[in-house]
Amino acid sequence: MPTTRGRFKVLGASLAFLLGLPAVAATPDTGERAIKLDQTVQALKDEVLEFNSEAASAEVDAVLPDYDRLNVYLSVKAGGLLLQDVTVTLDNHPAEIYHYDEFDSRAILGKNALQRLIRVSAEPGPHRLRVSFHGKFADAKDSDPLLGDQYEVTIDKPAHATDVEFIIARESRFGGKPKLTMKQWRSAQ
Amino acid sequence: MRSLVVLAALAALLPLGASAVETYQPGSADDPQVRLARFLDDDKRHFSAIVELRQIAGKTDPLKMPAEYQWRLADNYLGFGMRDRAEEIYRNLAATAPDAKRIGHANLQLAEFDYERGYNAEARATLYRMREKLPPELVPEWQELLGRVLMADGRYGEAADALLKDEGDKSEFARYNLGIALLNDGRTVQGQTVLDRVGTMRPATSEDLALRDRANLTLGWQFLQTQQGGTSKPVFSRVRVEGPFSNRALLGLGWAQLAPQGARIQKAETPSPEDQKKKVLTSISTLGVLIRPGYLDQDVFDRAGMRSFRLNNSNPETEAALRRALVPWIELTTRDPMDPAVQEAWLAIPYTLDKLGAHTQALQYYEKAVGILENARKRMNEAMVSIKQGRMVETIVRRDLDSEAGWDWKLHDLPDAPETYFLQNLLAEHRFQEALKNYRDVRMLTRNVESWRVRLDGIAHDYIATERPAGDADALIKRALSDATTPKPELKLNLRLDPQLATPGTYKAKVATAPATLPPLTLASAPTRFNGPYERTVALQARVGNLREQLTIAGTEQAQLLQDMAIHELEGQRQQIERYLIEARFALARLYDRQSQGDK
Repeated sequence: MPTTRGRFKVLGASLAFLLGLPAVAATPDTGERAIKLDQTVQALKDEVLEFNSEAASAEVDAVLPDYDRLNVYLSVKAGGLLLQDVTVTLDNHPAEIYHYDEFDSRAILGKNALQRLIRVSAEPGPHRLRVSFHGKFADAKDSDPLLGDQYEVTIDKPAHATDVEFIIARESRFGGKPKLTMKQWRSAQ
Repeated sequence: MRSLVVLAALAALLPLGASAVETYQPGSADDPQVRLARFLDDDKRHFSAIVELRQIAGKTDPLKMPAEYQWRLADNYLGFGMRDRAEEIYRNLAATAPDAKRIGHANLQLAEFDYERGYNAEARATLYRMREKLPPELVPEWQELLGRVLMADGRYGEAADALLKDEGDKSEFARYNLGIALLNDGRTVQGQTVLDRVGTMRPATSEDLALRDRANLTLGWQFLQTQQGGTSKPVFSRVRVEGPFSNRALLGLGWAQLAPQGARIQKAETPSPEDQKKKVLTSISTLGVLIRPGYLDQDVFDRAGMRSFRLNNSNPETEAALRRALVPWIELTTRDPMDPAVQEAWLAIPYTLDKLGAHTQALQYYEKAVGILENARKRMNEAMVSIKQGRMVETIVRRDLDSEAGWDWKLHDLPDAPETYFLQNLLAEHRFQEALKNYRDVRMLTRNVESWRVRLDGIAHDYIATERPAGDADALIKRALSDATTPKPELKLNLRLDPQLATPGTYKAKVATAPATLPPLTLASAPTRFNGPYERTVALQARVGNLREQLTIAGTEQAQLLQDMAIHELEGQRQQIERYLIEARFALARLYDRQSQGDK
C-alpha cells in the first residue's frame, strides 16, 4: 500500500522528469560515444562528397564532354505558382516530363532558384527545344482550371557547354497569366 | 504573299544570335549551378547541392570563391550535418562579408546544431563570440538559445540570469525555460510566477496549447512536491483533458485532493505589463469539467461500480477528499494501460478504496492492477527483444531512406512496432534524434556509393567497348580558335627572328650572324600517366570498396548506439513496472492477511 513517503517519491520522480533533472539523463558513455561517432560520420561525409564530386566530374567528362554538353534549366518568377508538371523535348528525342510534389514546387519559387530539367549531349549546331508547363497558384480553388504555356525555340549550340534557362513569369509585373521566356547563359571564363 | 509567310515562319525558327547570350562568373549569384544549389537546398537535397558546388570550384579553395558561392556551400554543409566545414566558411564570410544579419543568423544556426548534437561548449563559445556584433532583431533568439544551452549544462542560475535580461520580447517558450531555470536554481516563487503566466497565456497555435499544458503540468507537480495541494488543483485543471500531458495531469489532480492543502501562495514581482489584460481561457475543455459537482462524479462512480461503500470512523472532509481523488483516477483507467500515469492510477484507486473502507473492491482493483502490470511487463519484454534484434532503427528510417536532408531531416510519423510506444519520450529527445539522423545519413551514403559502383563499372565498360575514331587535330584547333578572342585585333603584328639585339643607336650596320638553327623536332614519347575520364574512373572504382567498408562500420556502431539508448530507456520503464507490481502484490498480501485474521 503506498505510504505518504512512497507517494511523494513518485511525485519526485514525475517532477524530475518534468524539470529535466538528471533522472532521465543518458548513461555516461552514450553522450561521449554519440559525439565521437558524429565526428566519424562528419569525416565520412566529407570523403563520400569528395568521391561523388570526382565521380560526377569523370562521368560528365566521359559521357557529356564539354563541347557537346547542353543544360536546360527552369526558373519560376511568378510568385505563388505551384507547378504540377513540366515537359521538355530536344529535337526528336522522347519528351522528358517532370512531376512536382509539394516540396519541390515550393523550392523552385526560392529567390534566384534554378532547377536543371535535362543535361544532355548535343552536337554543336542548331537544336530545337520545346518546353511546356502546368500549374496553379497557391490560392487557386480546386475547381479552377490549370494554367500553362509552351515555348519552342531553335538554338545554335556553340562548341562548348551551353546553359539555357526557361523562365516562367507573369505577363507583366502588374499581373497576367504566367508565360514562358528563354535566356541563354555562358561562363565568362 | 506566300513567300512572306514562309519567310516569317523561317525567321521564327532561326537560331538565336550571339547577342542573346548572357555571361556569368563561375560561382557568382548568376551561375546556373549556384542557382541550382539554391533550389536543391530549399528542396532539402543538401548532398546533391554540395556535389554541384564542389564541381564549380574544382581545385580552387572554396574560401576564395565568390561570397554567394560560399554562403550556399556553408548553408548546405550545415544542412547536411557537417558543422566543421560550415563553421570554417562562416568565419571566413564574417571576416569578409558585411551582412551582419546573415552572419548572425548563420552563427545562431551553428550554435543550435551544436546544442542539439551535444557540443554544448562549442555552442556556448559561438553564442558568446557573436554577442558583440549581434543585430538587435536577433537578440531574443540568441537569448533563448543561450538559456537552453546553459540549462543543458545544468547551469540554471546563469540560464535564468541570461533569460531575465530585458532584451526585446520573449517568446512563451523562452518564458517556460526561464520558469524551469528559476525553479531549478531555487528561486521557487519567481519560477512559479513565470510558469503561471505561461500556463494562463492566450494560445494562438497548437504549439502554444501544448506549451501551456506543459507549464501547468510542471507547475502543478511542483506545488504538490512543496505540499501545496490546494494550489495545484486549479493548475492541473487548466490542462486539456485530451492531449500529451493529460494523463499525468489527471494523476496529479487526484493526488492533489489527498496532499496537504498548504497556505496561500504569494506571487513574485511580475514584470510583464500584459498581466492586467490577460484572462484565463474558459472556452476550451479542461480537467475542470471532470469535477463539476453532480455531473461527472456520479457517472464515474457508476462506471467503476463503486456506490456501495462508505468510510467508517473518519471525518467527512477526509472521506470527501478521497472520493474526489478517485474521479480523475477512474477516468485514467479507461486510457492506455501502457502509460505509467495510468499504471499508477490503477494502484492509487485500490489504495484510496482501502482508506475508504471498501476493502473488497480494493482487493478486486489490486488484482486487476496486477493483471494490467503483468501485461505491460510482457509487452515491454517483447519490445526489448525487438530492439535487440536490430529491427527498431531500420523500421524508423526505412520510409525515408533516400532523403538527403541530413540535419534538416525530421521524423514525421512513427512506425507501428511494439517498441514505438515505449520510446515516445526518447524519440523526442535531441540525443536520440541526432543519432538517428546520423544513422540515416550513413545508410544514404552507403546506397549512394553502391549506386556509383554500378555507374562507374558502366562508364569503364562503355569506354573500352566503344570504338572511337582518331581525333581530327584540325577540327580540334578550329574548335578551340572559334572560342578564342584576340586581345587587340586592330593591331597587325608581323614577327621576325632577331637573335642578337644591340642597344638602340650603338650600331651602324647590320651585324653579321650565323643563320639561326632550329632545334630538330622529334616525336615525344607518350606521357607515363594520363588522367582522362577512363583513368579517373578506374581510380575511383578502387576507392569504392574502402568507402563501403568504412560506412558499414560506422552504420553498425551508430545502430548499436541507438539500440543501447533505447534499451536503457526501456530498462528504466521496466523497473518502474516491476516496482508497481511489487507494491500491488504486497498490498494484496496485506489485504488477504487482514481478511484471514478477520481484521476489517
